[in-house]
Amino acid sequence: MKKFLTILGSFAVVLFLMCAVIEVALLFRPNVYAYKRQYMDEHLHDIKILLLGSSHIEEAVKPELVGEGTFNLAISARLKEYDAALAEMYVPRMDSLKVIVMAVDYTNFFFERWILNPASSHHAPESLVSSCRCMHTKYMGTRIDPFWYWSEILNSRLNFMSRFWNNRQKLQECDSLGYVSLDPALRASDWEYRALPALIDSTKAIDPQSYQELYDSYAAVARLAQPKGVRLILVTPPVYKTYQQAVNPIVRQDMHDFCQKLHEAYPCVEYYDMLYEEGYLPEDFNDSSHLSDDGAVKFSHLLSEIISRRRQ
Amino acid sequence: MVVNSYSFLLFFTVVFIVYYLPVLRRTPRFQNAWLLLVSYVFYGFADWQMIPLLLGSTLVFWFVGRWLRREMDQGHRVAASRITTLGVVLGIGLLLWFKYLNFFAESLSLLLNSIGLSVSWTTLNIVLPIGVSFFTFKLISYVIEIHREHIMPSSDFLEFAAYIAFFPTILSGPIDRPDKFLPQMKTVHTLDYLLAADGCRQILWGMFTKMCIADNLAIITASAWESYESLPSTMLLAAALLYPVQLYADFDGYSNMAIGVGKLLGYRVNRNFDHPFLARNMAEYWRRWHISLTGWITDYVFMPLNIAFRNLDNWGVVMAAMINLVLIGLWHGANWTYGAFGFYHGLLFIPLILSGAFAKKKKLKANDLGLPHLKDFGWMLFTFCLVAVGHVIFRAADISEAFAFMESLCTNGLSGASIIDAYGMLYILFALALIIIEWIQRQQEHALQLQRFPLFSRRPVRFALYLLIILLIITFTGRSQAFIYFQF
Repeated sequence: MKKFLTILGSFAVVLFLMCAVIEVALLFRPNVYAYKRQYMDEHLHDIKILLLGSSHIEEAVKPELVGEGTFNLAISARLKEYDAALAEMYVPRMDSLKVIVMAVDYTNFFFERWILNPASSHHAPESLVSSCRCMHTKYMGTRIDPFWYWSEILNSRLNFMSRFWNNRQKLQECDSLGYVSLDPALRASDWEYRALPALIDSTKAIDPQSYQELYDSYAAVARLAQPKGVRLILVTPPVYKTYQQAVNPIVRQDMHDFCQKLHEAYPCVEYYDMLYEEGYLPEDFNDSSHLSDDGAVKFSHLLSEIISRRRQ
Repeated sequence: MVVNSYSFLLFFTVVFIVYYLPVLRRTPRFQNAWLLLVSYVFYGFADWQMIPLLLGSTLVFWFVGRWLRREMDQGHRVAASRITTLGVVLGIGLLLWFKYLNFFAESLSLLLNSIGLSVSWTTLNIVLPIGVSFFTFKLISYVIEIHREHIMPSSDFLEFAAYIAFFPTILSGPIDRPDKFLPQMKTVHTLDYLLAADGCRQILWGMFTKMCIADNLAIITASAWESYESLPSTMLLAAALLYPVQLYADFDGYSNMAIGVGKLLGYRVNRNFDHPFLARNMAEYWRRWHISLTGWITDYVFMPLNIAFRNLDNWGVVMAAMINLVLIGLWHGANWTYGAFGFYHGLLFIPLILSGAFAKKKKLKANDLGLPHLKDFGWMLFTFCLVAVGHVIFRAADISEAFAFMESLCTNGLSGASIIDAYGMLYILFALALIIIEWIQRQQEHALQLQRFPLFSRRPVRFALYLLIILLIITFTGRSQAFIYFQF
């Protein structure tokens, strides 16, 4: 027993050391989270329009087309509570800020009512909660969990080891203003059926706790924006027809009611639902719910119009 | 709580520490009691509502075993045979009730409706208890082995119940036989260093095949089956050839983990696979695939049938093999695809039986280069393709879907969308590496038994290899998929 435990223990020590070395080495490799934090710290006082959200904004809005002083702080797979945490970190210190744009994603409104969509190419959506928590805690400085450290080697599912064999440009993922361009050549053959939403079990009631959590995240951002006279523009970006077909009108109505409730509590909130926006072609999409570079150009112009419309 | 999870690691750490405490090592009863307790806790995590069923059936069979032995001791041979039959009927009844009742009722109803007899059957809402196919086979073999006088009935209920519920194997096997397992429960287990170390290596290998190979190949095969109507034949062919490897990596992965956990507790659990893709014909394949199930059915179904049909010569063997394989197929679940899967394999046995190749066990040898002989390799490839066709039937939701998939495979053409990206190619390389390792390590129980390589006699080199495997698991672990054999 003693020999077994000694050898097992020594192996565990070596294993721990290996993981620790990888973990430390990863700290010195570039990544999109670290880049965006660095940009925010350096340009805090110059940013006029701040984009928050997940891949539906990160890959859909080209800041240079929206207006001067725009930065895309959205990051793929980000949870709304992290948007709120980032806003709390930065917004109070941003002197030039005029507009915050935040995504309202259809998939955030399931509230425990979802069921698998058989039409989707990838059935069970992979949970990226631990990746989101880990990367935001390590590289963006958000402190919304009781734990101060989340190990990347155990928590990140974002192909983290590839960071050792990719160059800086590839690792940064985004352009200098935070936009991530999706290469149309890499679009999957079954792109129309990728990233489809789950279906809804309409017999189930909305889970009040998850509803309140989502509301609190948006309300936290609105509370920061309102006293500064900053507009909080909520947008639901366009999706492809395969996605539109899977949209449940009940959930869409819930989205609208949710945003109306926010607007009533915080008049700085505006909501634009572009889920069924016309004028988008198949080549404007990378999958059923993410825009391609062409689509991002169209959507960025549209967003720019919305922002300037109220300014005038 | 699956074996490759943090919760199991925590659970097993507690089990392991307490199991080897000096106070429990005083007598086998203490260790068996602890094993029984933790096995029920483990089973409760999977399906706590079925604990009364597991406990009840264990109690019944324990009494049946003792009753049977008493009648045998008193020379009541007829009564003993009847009690044995009762035990077998009870075990099969348990399986039929929970697993097949609705299926047979629906099938009968369909059949009667098709010949014009209108029958309306309300199916019962029966929940399939997890692991029922595995523990009922243990219960049945216990009674039969007592009747065959291969074992004495267990006088200690704790010991018997711990054998039936032994947590590493209760959910998905291997199906341990009482004549091999119960004697192991009669001794106090102190930690056997070599066995425990080998168990750790086997668990590591099982995790690698399950998490890096099976779970990643599952993404490719699932994509192919979801849209086989529109995908090109090349993709469907790739999926059809990858599915047997996925299934093997999944089930062998689980079996290795279960056997490894058993070894850490001092138990030698039945082997479940013996490098099945090195088989040169279907008979050899079934001697290497899911050994604990095929061995069970061969001993208790095929051999008695073979004797019963002996007057029919080779055709008697054909009939026995056919029944045997259809039963193996149906054991997997209440679906005609499984029956058809078994029947298909039965058909493949006919030329082997008639040519006499069925019973021949030719040793697999390497040529001077350490590779298989070309003829052997050709037969391995051919057998693998036959197995892959069988798994199309096995994987399909129903028979018509199996035919539709095969039709698409033959007619969809060569050009079209791809479901295999750069990572997919990497996972296919993992699958190929697995088969090559199978060949290299064909004499060993698992791939990490490396004693014959001088390089690996040094501990630092072995540690480096284990670290590399762990790194591969961390890096390439696929989206977690349930173990395929849990559903059976």
